Amino acid sequence: MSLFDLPPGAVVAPAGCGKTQTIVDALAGHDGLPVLVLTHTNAGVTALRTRLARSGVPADRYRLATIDGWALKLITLYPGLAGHRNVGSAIDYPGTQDAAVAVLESGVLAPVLRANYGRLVVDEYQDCSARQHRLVRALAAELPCHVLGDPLQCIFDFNGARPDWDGDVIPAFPTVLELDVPHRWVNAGQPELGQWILDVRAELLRGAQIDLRTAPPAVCWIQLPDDQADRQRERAAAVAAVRGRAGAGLLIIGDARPVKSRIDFARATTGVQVIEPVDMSDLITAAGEIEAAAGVDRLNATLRFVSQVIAGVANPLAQRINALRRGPQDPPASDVERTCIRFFAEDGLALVRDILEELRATAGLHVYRPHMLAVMIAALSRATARGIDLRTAAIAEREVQRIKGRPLPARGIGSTLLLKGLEGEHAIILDADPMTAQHLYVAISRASTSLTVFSTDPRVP
Amino acid sequence: MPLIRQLKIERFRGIRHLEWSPGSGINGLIGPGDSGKSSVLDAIDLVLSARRSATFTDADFHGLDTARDILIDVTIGDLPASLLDLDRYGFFHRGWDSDIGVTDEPEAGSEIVVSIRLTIGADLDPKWTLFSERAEADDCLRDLPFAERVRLAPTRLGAFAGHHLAWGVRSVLNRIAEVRPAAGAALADAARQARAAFGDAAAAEVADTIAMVRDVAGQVGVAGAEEAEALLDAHGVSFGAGAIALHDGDGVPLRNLGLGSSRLLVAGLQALAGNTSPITLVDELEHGLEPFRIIRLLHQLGAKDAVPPRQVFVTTHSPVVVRELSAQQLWRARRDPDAPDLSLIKLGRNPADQGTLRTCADAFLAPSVLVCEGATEVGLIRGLDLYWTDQGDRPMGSCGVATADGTGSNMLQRALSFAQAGYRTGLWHDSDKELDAEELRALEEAGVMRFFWDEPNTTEMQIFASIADDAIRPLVELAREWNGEESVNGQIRARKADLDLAFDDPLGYDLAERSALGAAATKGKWFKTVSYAETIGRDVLGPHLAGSGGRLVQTVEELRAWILNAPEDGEEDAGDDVEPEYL
Repeated sequence: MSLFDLPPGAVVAPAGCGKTQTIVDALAGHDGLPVLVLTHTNAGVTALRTRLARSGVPADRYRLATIDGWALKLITLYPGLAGHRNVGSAIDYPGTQDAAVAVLESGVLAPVLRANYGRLVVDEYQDCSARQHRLVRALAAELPCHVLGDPLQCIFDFNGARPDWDGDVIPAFPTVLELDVPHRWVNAGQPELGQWILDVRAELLRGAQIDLRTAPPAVCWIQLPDDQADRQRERAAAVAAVRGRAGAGLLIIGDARPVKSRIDFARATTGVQVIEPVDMSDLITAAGEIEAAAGVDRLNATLRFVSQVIAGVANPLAQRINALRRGPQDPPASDVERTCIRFFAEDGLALVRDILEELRATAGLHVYRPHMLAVMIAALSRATARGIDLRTAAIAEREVQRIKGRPLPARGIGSTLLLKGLEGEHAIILDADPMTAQHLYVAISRASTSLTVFSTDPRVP
Repeated sequence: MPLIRQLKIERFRGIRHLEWSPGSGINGLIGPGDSGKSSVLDAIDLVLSARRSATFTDADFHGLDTARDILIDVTIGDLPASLLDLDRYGFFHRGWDSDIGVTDEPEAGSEIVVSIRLTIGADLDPKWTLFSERAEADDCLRDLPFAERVRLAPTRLGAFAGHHLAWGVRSVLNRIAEVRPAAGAALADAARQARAAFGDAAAAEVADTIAMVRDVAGQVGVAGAEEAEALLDAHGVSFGAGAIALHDGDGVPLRNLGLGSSRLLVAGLQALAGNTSPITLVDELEHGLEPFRIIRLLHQLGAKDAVPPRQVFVTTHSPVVVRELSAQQLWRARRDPDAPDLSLIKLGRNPADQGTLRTCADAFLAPSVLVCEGATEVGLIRGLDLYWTDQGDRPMGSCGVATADGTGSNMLQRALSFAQAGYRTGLWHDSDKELDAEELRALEEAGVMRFFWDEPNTTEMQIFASIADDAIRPLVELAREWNGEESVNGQIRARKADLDLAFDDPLGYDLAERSALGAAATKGKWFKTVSYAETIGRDVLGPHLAGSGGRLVQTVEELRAWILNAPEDGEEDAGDDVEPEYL
C-alpha cells in the first residue's frame, strides 16, 4: 500500500523503520503531476535524490527542494507579491519565509500550484520552525500533503518558536500512519535490539525513564567512573572492544558541548576520527592564519594546523626542523622535513599543500581529523590555481562539501546533532547523563548491531 | 482555449499606439480604409505565428522613424497547464482583470496571463521574448519553445486557399486526420503508365526533326542518337503527394472553385483541424461570398455560439457582417487626426444599439452618418446629392457620408447610437414635434449636428413654404402623377377651396396658399417614399434652390456644408471627443 493511498496527514517515523523507503515507494508508484518533496538541508536533498535515482524512480515524478530554498524561489519569481527582496548574498530567512507564507495564504498562485504539483511531501517535519509549519500549512491548502517526522528526534535548537507536535502539528496533519517495523535492525539480524528501541519510545515520549539493565544483550551499560583517567581508560577499552569485531562501523556519541571534548577524545584514541560540524569553523580560522602569516610564521601556522589534525606529529617535526637547520642529522631529512626547510627560502601556499599532502600520505600516523585535512588541501589547490586567498578558498570548499555531504569515517565521534540520520553497526555513548529523551533516543538508535552506554545510573534519561 | 486578453502596438506601420482588449469570441473590425485594421491582424500574426521567419523593412516603422523600436505585446489568458509551470514561466506570470487591465504579477481574483513581446529595432532584426516588467528589470530574455508556439499559432484565412485543397506539405488536409496518403507506388506507376501511353505519339509531328537528328548523329558518330525517338521525359512526369488534389464529382479540381467557396470550405476544414489553433484571423471575410454564405462562414467561426469555440479576428467592409454580428462583437477602428493613436471602439453598449445595427448596417461603414427622420428626408438628400454632383460637387459618397433612416420615432436613438460610437453624426428632422430638453441635451453632449425647419413645419410644409414660385407647379404635378390627380386635388381643396388648381399664377403664391399646400402634402403623404423624394430633390428642389428663400435654403445649405466638410477618409473631426470603451 502506497503512502498516497492514505488521506493527507502525518506519518510518525521512528528511526530505522523505513521512512525514506516509504517516500521512495510512494514516488515510484505515483502517477500524474510531480510531487513536491521538501526537506530541510541541501545534504538531505542530495541524499534523497541519490536514493531515488538508485531506485530507478523517473525524475519527472518529483521536484526536490529544501523548504527555505523553495520559499526563496517563490518570492524571487513574484517579487511584487512577496513584497520582500533579499539584497546581495545575505538571505534573511525569516523575512523570506514570512513573505512566502503571505503569498501562499493570499491564494493568488493557487492555479499555478495546482498546475505544477500533484502532491506535497515534507520530510523531517519535527525540525520545522513555526514559520515553516505555517508555510507548509498554506501549501497544504492547495495540495494533498503528507508530512513525515518523529517528535522524539526533535533535537535542533531554535531561536524562534517551534511548533509542538501534539499541540500544533497533529491538529493540522492528523497521524495517518505510524511506521513500526525496525527494518534497520531486522536487516542487520538484530530484530530484538530494534524492537527494544521501538518499545522504549512510549516511556521516553511520556517523559519516563528506561532501565538499560533490562535491555537485550546487544545493549551494554557501563557505569561511568568519577575519575577522569578511569573514564578515558574505560572508554578506550570499549572502542577497542568494538574494533575487534568484523564490520566495525562505529559511531561514538560524545558531548554536544564543548566540541573540544570530542576532538580531544579522537586525538587520544587511536583509530577514532572526528565527524566535523558543517560550519568547519576551525578550518576557516586556520586558513585565515596561514594566509595572513609569512615566512617562518606561516610554517608555524601550518604546524599548528597539523597538530589540529594529526596526533603527535607537529612537535617532533618542529624539533627535527630546528635540528636540521643547524646541521645534517641522523637519520637524514625526510621528504616532509626537506619541504619544511624550503620554507625558509620561499613561503608559497603550494609549499603548505605539499607538506600536508606528504604527511597525509605517510603511513602509521593517527590522522584524527581527516576530513578537515582533506578540505584544507583542496582549499590550498583552489587558492593556488585561482590566485585567491586561502580563507576565501576554504569557505568555497566548505560550501561544496555542504551539498555533497561528507564521507563517514570507520570510527567517528560526533554529537547527536551531527550523527542524526547517520547509521553504523555499533554505537558508544560516552556520557548519557546530560542527555534529554530526544537526544538519548537519537543516540541509541544509531547502531544496528551493538550499543554501549556510559552513564552514572542505569536509569536514563 | 488560450486567447488574447490584450494587444498593445507601438509604432507599427500606420499605428502609432493601440491598446485594446478584444472579446473572447468573434471580433469584427470595421472602419475606413487605411485605418489600420489589417495591421492589427498582421501584428497578431507576427507575434504568435510559430515560425519566426518574418522580414521587415523601414516601411514597417510608423512614420518611417527607425530610431524608435516597434513594439507589439500580446497578452494571453486561459493558459494551458504547461504555461503555468512555475520553474519555467513563473517569472513571466502576470495578472489580468477586465477592469484593471494587466498587472505585472498575479493578484487576488485576477487571471494568470503571459505576455509575448515582439521588438523590431533599426537593425530590422525581430526579437521575440516572453515579457514581464520584473524579467525585463533582470535582463531576462526568453522565447517560448517551439512546441508551445505551435499550440498558440493563429490560423490565417487569407487570400489564397488553393494549396489546402491538395495534399501538399502545408495543407490543412494533413492535419484533419492522422493519415498522409502513402500513394508513392501508385504515383510512380501512374507516371510510368503515362509515359507508356504517350509512347511515340509525338512522332508524326516531329518526324522531320527526328530524321535530321538521326542524320547528324550518323555523321558525327554519336551511335546512341542514331535511333533517336521523341518520348515523354521521365523527369517531366513525376508526381509528389501534392499532385493528389480534391476534385468534385465531375472531376473538376476543387481548386477551381470560386475564391469565396474555397475560403468557406477551407475555413470549415481548418475548424476541424483547429483544435490546435485557438486563434483565427480572417482578412476581408466577405470576399467572394454571397450574403447567405457570408452568414454561413460567420456561423462556422462561432459567431452565434453562446460559448465561443475560439477567438476570431475579422476585418470587413460588408453590411451583411455588420448585420449578422452583435454590437458586442463589432469594433470600429478610429484614428485621431492629430495624434494617430488607433482606438478600437466597441459598437454597442446598449441593447438598443443592436436595433440600429440591424437596420442601418450600411451606415456603420461610413465615417459620417446623416440620420434622417424618414424616407422623405433620405430621398431628398439623395436627390440633392445627385443634382449637386451633376453641377460638379463631390458626391456624398466620396465625402464618406452615409444616410440612415430614423423611421420617425427611432431617429433620436439611432443618432445617439452613431454619435456615441464615435461617428460624425448629423440628425435631420421635422420641426412638427417638440423635442424635450432632456433629449436635446443628450444629442448635444453626444456631439450630434442638428438640421431642422422653422416650427412647426414638416419637410413638405417647409418646402412649400419657402420654395421659389415656379417650383410649386412642378411639385404639384409630380404629386398628381404619383398619387392620383383627383386625390391630390381633393386634398388641396379641402384646405383651401379657392386655390387655382391650374397653378399658373404669375404673381406667385401667398402664405396661405403655400401653407395649405404644405399641409395637404404632409397629410396626403405625397412624397413619402425615397424614390419620390429623390426625384423631387434632383429635379425640383435642387434647381430651384437658388430662387428659394427662408429656412429651406438655410438648412439645405447647412446640410450641404456639413456633407462637403467631412474630414478625409480615416480621420475624424477633432471635435469628436468620444471616450473609447474596452469592455
